Amino acid sequence: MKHMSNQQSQALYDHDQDSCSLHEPTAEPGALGCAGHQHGPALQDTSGSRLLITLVLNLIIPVAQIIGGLLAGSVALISDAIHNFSDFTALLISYVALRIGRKGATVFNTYGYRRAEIMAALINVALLAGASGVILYHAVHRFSDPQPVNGFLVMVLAAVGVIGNGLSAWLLHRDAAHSLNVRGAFLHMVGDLLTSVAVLINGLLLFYYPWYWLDPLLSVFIVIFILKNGWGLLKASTAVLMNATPGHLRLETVRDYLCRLPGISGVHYLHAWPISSASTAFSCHVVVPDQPVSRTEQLAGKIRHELMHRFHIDHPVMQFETEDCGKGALLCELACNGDDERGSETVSDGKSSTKDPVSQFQVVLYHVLRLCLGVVFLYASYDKILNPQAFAQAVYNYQMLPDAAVNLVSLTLPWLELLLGLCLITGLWLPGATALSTGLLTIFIGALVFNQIRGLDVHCGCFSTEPTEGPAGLWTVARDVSFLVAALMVTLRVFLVRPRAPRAFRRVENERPRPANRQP
Amino acid sequence: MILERLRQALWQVPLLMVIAGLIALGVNQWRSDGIALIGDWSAEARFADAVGNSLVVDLDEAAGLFERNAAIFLDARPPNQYDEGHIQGALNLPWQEVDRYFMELADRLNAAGTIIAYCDGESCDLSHELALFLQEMGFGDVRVLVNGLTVWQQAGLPTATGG
Repeated sequence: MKHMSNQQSQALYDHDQDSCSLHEPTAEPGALGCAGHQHGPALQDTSGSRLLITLVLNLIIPVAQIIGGLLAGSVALISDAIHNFSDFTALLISYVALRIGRKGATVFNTYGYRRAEIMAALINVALLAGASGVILYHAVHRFSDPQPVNGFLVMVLAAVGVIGNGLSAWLLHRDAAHSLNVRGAFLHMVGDLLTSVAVLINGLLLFYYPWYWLDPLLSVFIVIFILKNGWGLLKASTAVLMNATPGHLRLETVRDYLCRLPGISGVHYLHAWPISSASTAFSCHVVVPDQPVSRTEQLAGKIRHELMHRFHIDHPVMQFETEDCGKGALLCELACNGDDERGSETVSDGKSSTKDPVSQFQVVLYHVLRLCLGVVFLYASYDKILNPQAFAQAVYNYQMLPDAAVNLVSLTLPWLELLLGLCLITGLWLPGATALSTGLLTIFIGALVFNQIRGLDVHCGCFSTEPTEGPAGLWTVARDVSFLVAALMVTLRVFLVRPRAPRAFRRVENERPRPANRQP
Repeated sequence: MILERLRQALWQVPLLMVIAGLIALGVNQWRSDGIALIGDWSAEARFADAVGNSLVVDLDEAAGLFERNAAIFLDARPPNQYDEGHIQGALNLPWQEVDRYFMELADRLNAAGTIIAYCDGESCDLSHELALFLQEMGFGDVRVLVNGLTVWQQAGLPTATGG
């Protein structure tokens, strides 16, 4: 046995030194959702009654809006209601998590119940995604079959949303001025208000003009907004469940700091992971000169103190040892001495790579184009899948395929468009999907131009199988050319630019060529 | 890098097509309003009545009826196209405004033996729609002259312009 001393200590800032006790700090209030800093109103200093009023407000408003939305026939209002409802669930989650978190640890659940909030946040995301899907479905339906919307009712209920959001935000944040969460909470509040205001304007416009497409369009934007917030929530909560290093921590910095402490000759096997949004656990091996165990305890106390104060790590576990690593142990690349460059390279956090605005703009543009193209393909497939006979007629009218191939092509093409749309949106199989999209669009444009030249009056059958769509003209060609340009840009980027691999994959990739660090 | 992407595209593109094809065939098999995998796109099949009997009249037969004055020709295109040129003696019954024009022509159609609807272009469906409508209205002998004006002109048969 090489380990002369082996002390495992569970350390809290105000800890007792008995390493056998089961001890958990009570959950700190202010933990909301899993990303309490951004995705919800702050709960600090909020006493029970105020929270209760806010909860009731945030429940009544969306319920009223959903009923009103159904009566007025407005999907935008319903999406706004879902958005407001997500505030209610976020508040409820934080409240319940607060209560559950206070239960503390048991012999069975040694970490306590603080990750309950993470589980709840995930369920919340799933609910939001489901609701968004339903809204999107109805919105797309509305585009092809616009329905009258009662603008006045929409206005009234949107106004209720504006007032309610303002009131609840005011109630929650009145005495949270000193909170670090204020900025995030303020942004959240502005987002809520803006969607309600947008729906209000939508109602006003619909009151005077019969622009019924405006309503589903707005609801699509609100759904995108909901999904964007949900995505952040999902990323943050899965990061906790995957034991990812918390965002505010850089392990290299922690390692470098510990290495510089007197009496420590090496640190390796570092891990840091969040237990909840407010609590961080940490473990590492500390290499020290041969000495009695009692002496390392002093050192351990100092390390704990530093970790808590400098890095807000409230739950460190250290193992002291005298041998350097190098016996094939995992993650030894985070050792102090030797192999330093490669070590820090493997765990660099992808954020530092592309910083200049031009390439960042390109990245954003690429993702926007990719998503838009995906939506276009999905939308294009929808009506054709529903009406195969009508689409077959449209394909036949192009007079370009042999009669025997018309039905097979018109059956397969919509599903191919659906698959391409899904691939483009999810980012799966991008090389194939982008190449095929570009190819298909080229063929479509070719067919349109060919028939323009030979003067054949075809209905394009591009998005709808209804002949009322009108004959395909120059406008159709121009539209398809703009799609083609977008597809080409996305394709070129997929084929020419190496994407930033997710951190975990990259580490494994880079690890392969060097099996272990051998220290002399 | 680019070779790697090309290699990926090379198997993804056919695979996507195959998956789309399989889903398409499966769904088409399962749904109630699926279509035949290889459709019959001949003129006879395309211009058929509700029970599948072809409504197509060939040019020779139509010309014969024209000579004997035994048929009424109906131009299903919009009035401006009718004015530019139509089969001599044909009446204009634009399919787009069939409700408005039908009552005006109803008496003359009742008196006719055979009604031949036509428009222009191989894939023009106006005459077919009109023929189906007339059948529904109770006219027994309704026919369609496919790509009517073009084949009529090519055969050198008489046409007229104006209203």
